[in-house]
Amino acid sequence: MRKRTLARGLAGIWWGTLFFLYVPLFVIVLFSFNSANSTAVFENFSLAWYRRLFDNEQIINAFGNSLVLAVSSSIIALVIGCLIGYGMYRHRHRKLGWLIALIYLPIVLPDIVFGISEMAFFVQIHAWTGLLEPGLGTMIIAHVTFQIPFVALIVYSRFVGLDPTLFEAAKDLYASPIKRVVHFMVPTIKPALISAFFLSFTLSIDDFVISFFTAGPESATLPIYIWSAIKKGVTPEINAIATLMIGAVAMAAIFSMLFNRQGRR
Amino acid sequence: MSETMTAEIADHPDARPAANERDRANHKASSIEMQGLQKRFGRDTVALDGVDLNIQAGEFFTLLGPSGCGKTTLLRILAGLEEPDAGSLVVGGKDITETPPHQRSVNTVFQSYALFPHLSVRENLAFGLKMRGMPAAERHSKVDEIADFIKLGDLVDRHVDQLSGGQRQRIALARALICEPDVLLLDEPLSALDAGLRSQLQVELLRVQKRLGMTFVFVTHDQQEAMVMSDRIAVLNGGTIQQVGAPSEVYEHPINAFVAHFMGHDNLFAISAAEDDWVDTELGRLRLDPDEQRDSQDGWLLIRPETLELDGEIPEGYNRLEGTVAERLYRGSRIEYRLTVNGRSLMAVASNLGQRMHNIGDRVTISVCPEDLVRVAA
Repeated sequence: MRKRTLARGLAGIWWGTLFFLYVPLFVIVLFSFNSANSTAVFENFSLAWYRRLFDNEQIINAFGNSLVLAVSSSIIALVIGCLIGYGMYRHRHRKLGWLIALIYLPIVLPDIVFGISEMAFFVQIHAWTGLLEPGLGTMIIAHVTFQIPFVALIVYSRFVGLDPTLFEAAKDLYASPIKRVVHFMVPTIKPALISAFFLSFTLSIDDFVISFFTAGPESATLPIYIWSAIKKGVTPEINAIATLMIGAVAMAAIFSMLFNRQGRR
Repeated sequence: MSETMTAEIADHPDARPAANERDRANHKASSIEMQGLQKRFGRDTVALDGVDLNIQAGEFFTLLGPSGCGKTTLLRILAGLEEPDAGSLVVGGKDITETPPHQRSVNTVFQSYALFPHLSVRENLAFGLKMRGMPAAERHSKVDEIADFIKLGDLVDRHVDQLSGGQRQRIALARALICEPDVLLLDEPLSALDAGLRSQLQVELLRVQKRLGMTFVFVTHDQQEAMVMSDRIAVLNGGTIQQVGAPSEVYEHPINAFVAHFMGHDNLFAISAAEDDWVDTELGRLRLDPDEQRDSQDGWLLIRPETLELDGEIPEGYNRLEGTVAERLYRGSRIEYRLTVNGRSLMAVASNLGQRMHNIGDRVTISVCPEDLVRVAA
């Protein structure tokens, strides 16, 4: 009897968690299809807010910025993070291996501290050299910087999970250094690379704080637009943007998971 | 000659006398010359301390020793996966000391098999050929050929993680053989397998080597395996070669106490004095073959358990000892006795021919031929 009560209590925690996780999302998605200009009363199903969304040049711009930022930063972070991940793997037995931990700073540092320091840094550089004017360029640099540790970690753990003799087998079977990269390393960690790309992509799309501090006047991303629009109150239009973002991030996350699973099979 | 060949092949029901087999047997085999090879790890660990070794073309050669003796380091130097600090390595008349591994015509069967997880079995087999730039069609027929030769059957179309340990081992062997290297290196390839499969694959491996006539360098810590497989064995310890010889030579005439112990000998007794063909040991005074005379007064006397006869007729000139049976181990085909002689323990082995077994506590007369006693350096 008591056992049952306990089991019910634990199940309750599970359902409660799901409730607070998904109901707000559901509400946002629901009201994005509301014909009335209200976030409290649902009248009729309507795509009106989506239509207005796509007529809004500011939103289209913000969407474009978000996409350009996410894709380009993810690609750059993938290349650099992959090299660092391999380097960490190769030198994991060195005495100075702890130095590698330095690149994990962005993971533990609060975004706001990271964002402010990046901003101050870019402003200084700009003042001295005229380079790095705040805009998409500085945002890409900032995003790449915080994406790299995630990519490096995923690549590193994939390499660590491999039998180290595989590297020797590739050498032994006549693969030159370049052929080892093309025919052994990249194909072997391919699922990890794809997974790391989608993770970087979602991190970038998601980010508001760091983007906010490093953006220029012309480079507002969707989260920045939402933040400025929300000052006038939450409109069904915002709900529509949020719904689209939920969809995009969910898809990236699902892809990332699928490829990671494929890699482990 | 051809008659004996036929007889040999007929012995193996699964052997197939195909035309391409004769071509394979003609494949060039290469000799290996190692001179003064040295290798240190860090400051204090000496892995190889000046190794000179010649391996003949077409030989099944085994590097035998305990872990840390340098056998694996030596194999890795042959593969090019480790660079020696000093010394030279010549394979097939070419100095390859400085040649990187991917440019050496040497292939390795790794202990962990090291099959690529991202490739199918077929792609694994073709990997070396592909890296050498062989066209796809030619690779395909080569894979079929080797699959036929090693009898892989439908394994070729499976995925690597669907294979058992024994199957992986054979794929790893095929993946190395398909490249037709000058030398094939095998790093304890059978150590992960259970006993039955292991002895089956020992025979298979040996058969493959004899048919190809390729030079095989085999690393193991198992002296039984080394004796079964090898044309010659090098016993290593502490980074130096202790003894090189045919299995019978190393087993029956170990050069020192280390080799004797490592080859599985228990019956070693300290020699306290030696004169002409007599030695004084812990067991008593024993007569040796005159050829066994050594200059030194000390060392060890080796008595192989299988040369001892219990309670038999004692021919003229044989050594005679008295002892009691302390332990009896029934092994089916043979019976092992631990005897106590002069307070010392002495092992004896008798083939199980249905004779009366000795019981624990029995007094027995032990006889041994002087020619079976071997003096071993300290």
